[in-house]
Amino acid sequence: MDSVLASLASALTSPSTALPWVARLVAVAVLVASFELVVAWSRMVGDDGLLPWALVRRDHERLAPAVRALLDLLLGARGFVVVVVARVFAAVALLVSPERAGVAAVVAAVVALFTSVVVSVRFRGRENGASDALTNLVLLALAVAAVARALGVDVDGGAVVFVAAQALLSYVAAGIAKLRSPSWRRGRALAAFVAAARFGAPAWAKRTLERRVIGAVVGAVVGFVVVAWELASPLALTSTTACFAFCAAGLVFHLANFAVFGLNRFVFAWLATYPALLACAASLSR
Amino acid sequence: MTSRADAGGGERRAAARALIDAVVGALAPAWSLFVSAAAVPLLQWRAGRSADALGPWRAALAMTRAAPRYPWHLLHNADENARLATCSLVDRLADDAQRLDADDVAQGVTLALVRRLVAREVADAGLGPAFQLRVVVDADERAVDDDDTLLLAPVDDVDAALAAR
Repeated sequence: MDSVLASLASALTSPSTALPWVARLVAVAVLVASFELVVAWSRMVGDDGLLPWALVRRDHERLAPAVRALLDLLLGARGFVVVVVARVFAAVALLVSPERAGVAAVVAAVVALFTSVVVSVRFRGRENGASDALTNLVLLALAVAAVARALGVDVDGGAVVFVAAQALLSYVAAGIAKLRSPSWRRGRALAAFVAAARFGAPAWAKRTLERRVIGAVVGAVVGFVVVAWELASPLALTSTTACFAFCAAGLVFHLANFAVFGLNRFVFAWLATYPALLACAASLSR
Repeated sequence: MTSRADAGGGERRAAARALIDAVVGALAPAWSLFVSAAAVPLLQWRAGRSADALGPWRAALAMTRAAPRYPWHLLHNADENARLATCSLVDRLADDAQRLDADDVAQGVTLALVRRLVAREVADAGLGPAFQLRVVVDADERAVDDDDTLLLAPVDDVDAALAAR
């Protein structure tokens, strides 16, 4: 079993083969987020939407005139359309041709990063919070690697380690934060999140966790497993088998978060880091 | 003269810091996700014909009205992500209320955005023109008390809130 996984890992997970997979998966994350923004455009950034530029630009009214003019150009109605269209094209380029080298690769990666950060600024730093931030960090690693490659320097390995480290940091930090929370330690946190109107959990999840005995057991067991899995995430680097198992569990975890809390962007944002985790595990196992 | 120049410099630095915070926020998230449901801010409003005749508090639907979820939403979930963006805006208002002076919150962009959001909901419900909003920590089934209230805005007018620029 281990040798099968090791051969699969070697095919997927050297830095030079892992990074294109990271690029493909993060491109999917960017495309999903971009099309969602396009569909909800008037509700989100239109004049009568949640974040009209006429009001949001007041955040920047004390800045130097040149900076304000640049922000108006990028984030005003027409400019922001161009930004989002450029983001889609860059993501498509990363998706269909992630191994490309040279100027085209630099342009795709840098445009994807720049436009994604601009979108985040348009949303005042947080649109979908953590998933957008992780997507931006992965794009940062891809952009640095592409620029370095174009300059004749190979930093693919560093980029892979950076992406893997961000994934592990996110899981461990989230696990520590939960461990410090009394409601997670008592096994009641999951039921409270599912019950809260704010999180929009479906009726089947609410019904399950509202049941007196079964709900308490399910909430406590799932809560314990989630915290333990997040805190144990660095163990994924101990072998390729452990890493494949960790990534499979991670996929289940993020799909469950989508099913219960609707967090679809988290699935692709974190999935994009898994080839980097596998590459690091394979490298450490050699 | 010097103090006015100092004040202008301070405002410019604050504005630059807000922009830098937005960029840093886009690249350096806090990973403390789903830590405590009891600490989650919730937006509520009440409305009536005048400030003296406001009805009961009710939760803002823009935050709490989740759409039905289907498997294809894995690839396209615009409605839910628009709702999450609204939640992020209310989180930010709660942060502002705990971090900034009351005057800064009152004049800030975040409160103006949330006022518009609530004013539209009040108008859609056929209520108003007077309304008031508040941000509370999620009090679950029990009644909200003063300790749960992070921000209580003054009574407002629907048309004025919608016209804010």
